[in-house]
Amino acid sequence: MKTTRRLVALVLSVLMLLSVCSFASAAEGETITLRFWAHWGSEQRRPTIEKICNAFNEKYAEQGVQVEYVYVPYGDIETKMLASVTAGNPPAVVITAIEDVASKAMRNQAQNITEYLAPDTQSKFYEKYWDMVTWNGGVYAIPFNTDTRLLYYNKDMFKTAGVSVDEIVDWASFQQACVKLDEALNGTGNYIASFYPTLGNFGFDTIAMANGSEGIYDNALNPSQVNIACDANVEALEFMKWFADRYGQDTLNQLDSANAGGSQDLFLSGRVAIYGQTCNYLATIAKYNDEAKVDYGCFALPAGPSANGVTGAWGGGFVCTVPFGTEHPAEATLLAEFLATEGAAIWGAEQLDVMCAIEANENPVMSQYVGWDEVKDLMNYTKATRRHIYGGSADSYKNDAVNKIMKTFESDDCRAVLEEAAQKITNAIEEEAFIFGE
Amino acid sequence: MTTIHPSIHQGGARKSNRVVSHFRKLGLVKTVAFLILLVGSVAVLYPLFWMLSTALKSDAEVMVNPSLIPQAWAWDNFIKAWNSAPFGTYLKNTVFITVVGTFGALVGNSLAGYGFAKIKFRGRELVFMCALGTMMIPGMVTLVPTYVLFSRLGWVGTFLPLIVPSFTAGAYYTFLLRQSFMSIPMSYNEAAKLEGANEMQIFTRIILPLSKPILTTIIVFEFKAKWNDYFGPMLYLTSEKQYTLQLGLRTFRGTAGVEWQKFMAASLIVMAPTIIMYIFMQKYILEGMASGGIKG
Repeated sequence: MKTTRRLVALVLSVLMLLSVCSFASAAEGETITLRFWAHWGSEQRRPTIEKICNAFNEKYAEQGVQVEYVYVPYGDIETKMLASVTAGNPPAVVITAIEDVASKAMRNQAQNITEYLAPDTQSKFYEKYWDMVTWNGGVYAIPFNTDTRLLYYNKDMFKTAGVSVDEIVDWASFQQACVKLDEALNGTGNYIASFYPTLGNFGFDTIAMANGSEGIYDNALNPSQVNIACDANVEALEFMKWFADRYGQDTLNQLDSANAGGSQDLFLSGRVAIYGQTCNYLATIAKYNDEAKVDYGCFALPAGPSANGVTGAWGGGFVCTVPFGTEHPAEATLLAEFLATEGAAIWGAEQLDVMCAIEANENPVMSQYVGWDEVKDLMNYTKATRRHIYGGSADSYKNDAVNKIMKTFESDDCRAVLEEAAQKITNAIEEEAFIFGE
Repeated sequence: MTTIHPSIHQGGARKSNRVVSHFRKLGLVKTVAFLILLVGSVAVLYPLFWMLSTALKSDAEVMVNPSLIPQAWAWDNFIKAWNSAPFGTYLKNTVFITVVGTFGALVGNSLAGYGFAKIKFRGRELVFMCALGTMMIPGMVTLVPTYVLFSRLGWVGTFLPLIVPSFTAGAYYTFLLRQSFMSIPMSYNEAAKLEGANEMQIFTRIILPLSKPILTTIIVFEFKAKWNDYFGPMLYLTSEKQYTLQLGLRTFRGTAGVEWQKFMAASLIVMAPTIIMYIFMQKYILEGMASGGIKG
């Protein structure tokens, strides 16, 4: 009996311990505390987002509105948001991907905040990014930041190979420059290859858009028909294939191995002469170039044969989403608007980011960086893409098609792999539309 | 023409004879097995060496030096990584969840295992089969309903969703314990009953002391599972004051890339307790697996 009593006492003690660790939210009184989730938790990002939250708390202290920032790991924020919306206890604002706003709005995951917006809010943002947060006439988020993709080149390597950036005016001259670089630099230092399109953060989308394409669909902003197998996209993939044919599996394996899952930088370590990356890579170079001392420059990929002389690039980004069912939608919208305007100005200056609010980009700090002028220029030609509301798996089919040419070398017929992807995407959209009763 | 001194010949021959006789003694099969295990060990340990090497590289070096040997040994990366987020708080929370959760798993599963192994009741086998059947349900399928349940209970934002389920019996541990308990002869129970012991006394005084290896195995498995759990804390905890070490590690990964040197330094610190625990308890783990999985 003694043992039984001891065991019961032990279990009860544990249960008491558990009840102590239950942190149910206390009554807030008159102050509304808004929960704000974002994926900025690193030493580089956190001070800036906390500074923005402090500025909000200071500004709205008298109105009794305060914000509590919670870091949620990148890649899982959507899952956590979905679970919280389903359970009916979502936070006030969540930072989510810019291309998914319509998809979230259609699925009742994002709140329609049109009625809570100040009358002049729309005028503070670039039109194309404002379009990204609207769906069926309603506003479901406020655009925060964006990016673009351009090519970084090693000036010393170009000099050794006798290549000038000015000579690179189209895709053919770009390929010629790569041949010259290989001829001059093969076997020297760490050099492996001039350029490989799928390395870094470049890839098919940017190359296709530099060739006048709208991406996977007929219209980047209002996707309707699947158009991934269009001529411009086939040309883009053939341009990429030229590099796959030139370098082959062994060189690709060498590059992959040198990249070591992203822990090594192929450009700063001198393994490639040209590297496709986002504009934020300027900050990475600034951080790591003390050791590498790479003299670098930037240029946009020249326009492809179908682009009528106008280049392009793909731009992603993030928005401040008010999740559906949040407790204080008006105050949440106030926070989202503050983050995307006054907060964006602080963020842009400290994080070297391209913001969606017009005034936030009038930034003297960013102008000091090598490559910033090229970034600003390319932003005019950068296309944001809205994900098809039923096309959640489209990117994976597109990536499969590109990998068959560029990575696994399973096929050498660019049109055939893109047509196969088009068929799979069409089927997936039809199946998902059927589930939603359309 | 050079000549070789006879003693060198003799010395070399003696050495090679020793090696040959050593291998003969060891047996060819064992030698081959040893070599295969050696290669396997190198393959398994290489990522650890790589982690240590990356953790010891400076900020400037980490992205550009592919060598396993750092140019400048940046030991302070471990301190920098630890101080870059409130890892002390994360450690405290992780220890709490791990200790209480492991205790819960021991209590809940051993009671259920004892019931299935030693107490006869109608439908016992059917209930046991149903319990085993839950192992076939993927976790992602029950994710949202479970979250909604805990949310309705008001447990989201507390440690309860991470601890309470441990006190309820899980199929895998219950199975292991049942198999182990079944290997203990029923005559022990019968003799104890004749002496006037009840089921709880038999369980605590006879069965549990005889089941140390399997209980140790459960402790190690549950400790590892709770210590390394990322998804549960990510989903259910809503304040950074409650975050665990695994969530803390993710702060080094962002949209702009990964701070590899700090990520690896912090990862090495975080994984150390599980490795130490395994080293000290590996004997019991093997015995426990044998008693739980093979006998019975």
